[in-house]
Amino acid sequence: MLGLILAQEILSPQALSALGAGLAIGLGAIGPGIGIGLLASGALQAIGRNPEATPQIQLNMILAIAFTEAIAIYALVVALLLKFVV
Amino acid sequence: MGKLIRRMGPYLLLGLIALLSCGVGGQAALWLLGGLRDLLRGAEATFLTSASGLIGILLIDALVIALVVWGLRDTRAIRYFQTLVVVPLVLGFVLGTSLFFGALGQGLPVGGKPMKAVLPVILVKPEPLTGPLFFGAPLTNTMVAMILVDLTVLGLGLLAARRTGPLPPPVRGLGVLVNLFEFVVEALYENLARVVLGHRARQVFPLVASIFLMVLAANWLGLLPGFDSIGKVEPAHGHGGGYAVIHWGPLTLLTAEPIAPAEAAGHEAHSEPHDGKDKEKKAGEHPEAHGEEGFVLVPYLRALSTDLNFTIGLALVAVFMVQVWGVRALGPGYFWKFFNLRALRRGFMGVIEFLVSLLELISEVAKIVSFSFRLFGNIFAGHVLLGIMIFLLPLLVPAVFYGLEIFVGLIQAFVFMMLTMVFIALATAGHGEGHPEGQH
Repeated sequence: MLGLILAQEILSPQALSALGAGLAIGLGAIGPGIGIGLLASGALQAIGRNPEATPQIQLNMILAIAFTEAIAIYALVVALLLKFVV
Repeated sequence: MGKLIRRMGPYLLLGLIALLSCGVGGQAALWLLGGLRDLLRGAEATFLTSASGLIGILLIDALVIALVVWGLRDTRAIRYFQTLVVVPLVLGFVLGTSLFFGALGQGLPVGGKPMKAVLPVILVKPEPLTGPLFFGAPLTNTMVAMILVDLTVLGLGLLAARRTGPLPPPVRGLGVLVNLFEFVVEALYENLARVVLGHRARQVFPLVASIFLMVLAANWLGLLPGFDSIGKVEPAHGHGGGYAVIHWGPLTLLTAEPIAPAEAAGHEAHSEPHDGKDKEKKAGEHPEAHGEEGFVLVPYLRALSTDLNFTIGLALVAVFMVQVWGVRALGPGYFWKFFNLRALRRGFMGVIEFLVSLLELISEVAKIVSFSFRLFGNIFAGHVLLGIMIFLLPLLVPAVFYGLEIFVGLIQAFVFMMLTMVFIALATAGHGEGHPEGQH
């Protein structure tokens, strides 16, 4: 009975798509977050050991961060589609 | 006695001002809570309560500023005032005013309707401005932006190309722009293209530099004021709701008064009882607007990179050119990378190698997807972020995110160019043996 009420009153398509959008970007941001943290930590350590190579390291770091971030962007696009298109 | 007061004065003043600042904070907090309470009730707060809060804050601020001016006569106190009082005070004042025009505030009533920040209508596909024009496709607002971007890049390029030598010393006007253009192109060529591409830099450079300049112009022009905020005011159909409009001379202003869609009035009424400000538009189109109909803004200009057609098109060009350079460097043998038939002779392991080579084909398609969605996602998300920050706190806060978007626009243009160069370098390196870890 309660389940029926829940299904009818709460789980409307809009509610589900909002929930899906939140979950998509929330879960999708975990991995890239960790990844960017690892990248920055590695780059900072490298710069600490070899300050002369800073420009080179920064360049590659930014490039790698762009790759990592792209994954979060996919999650974001899915979230935006769920929220505004579906 | 006079000496004692002179010595203690700054400290007394500081204490007083700290007390008053707490008062400002408390007022702001009460104001905020009042707004929240009304929001929770789902009712529009009366203008009176917010007005009294605003007047209270303004009075206290005027008092504090007067005290600060008085206190500044003592030079020793200047440091304290600057760091402890003036900065928080100015920030607090601007934030407070910001709140007034934002999502929680009431805005100024103009013509009986609240004028404050409107939550932007967020659409993934670009809005058409006209009926079908070219082969059935309408002119969209991103196409207008694309013409602007093209004119900017082409104009600068032609100006720079026309010049044959250094300008005589007093450089001003367009000369500065041309110098800047040359500086950018030269920095890209000497520091990046030559390092990544080696002897092919000279041939490949025009392509990747054009990509960089095009994407940079697309990202940065989209941040100009006027993009997303000036456009046609159209009846809201299919957007759910819409806002009331008022007419002000030749302009039609969108107010923050939400109008529920006629057919679903009861259903949506509670979902957006509070929305925002004036987005100013040329009306022209609908002078007969009668009160009950909801309107939305269809901007004339929208950032080019927020159109998937543009980003996918650019990605297709980039990936296609990668193949072209691969074939130019390695001849038809380039395609062994995708169909490694030669490996089949080596028995079972060869079959696996062949299957792996087929994966290269998929990774080529993945390049298109990640190129286009990276650019689109970053810029689109940036514009949504800006719109929502303007909706929440219109005055000071969006400036921070604006700076972030300028940076993101530059980084995305750089990344698009850089990746194209790296992919070309990989494709021309031959024998797809191992993807070099370091990209140079």
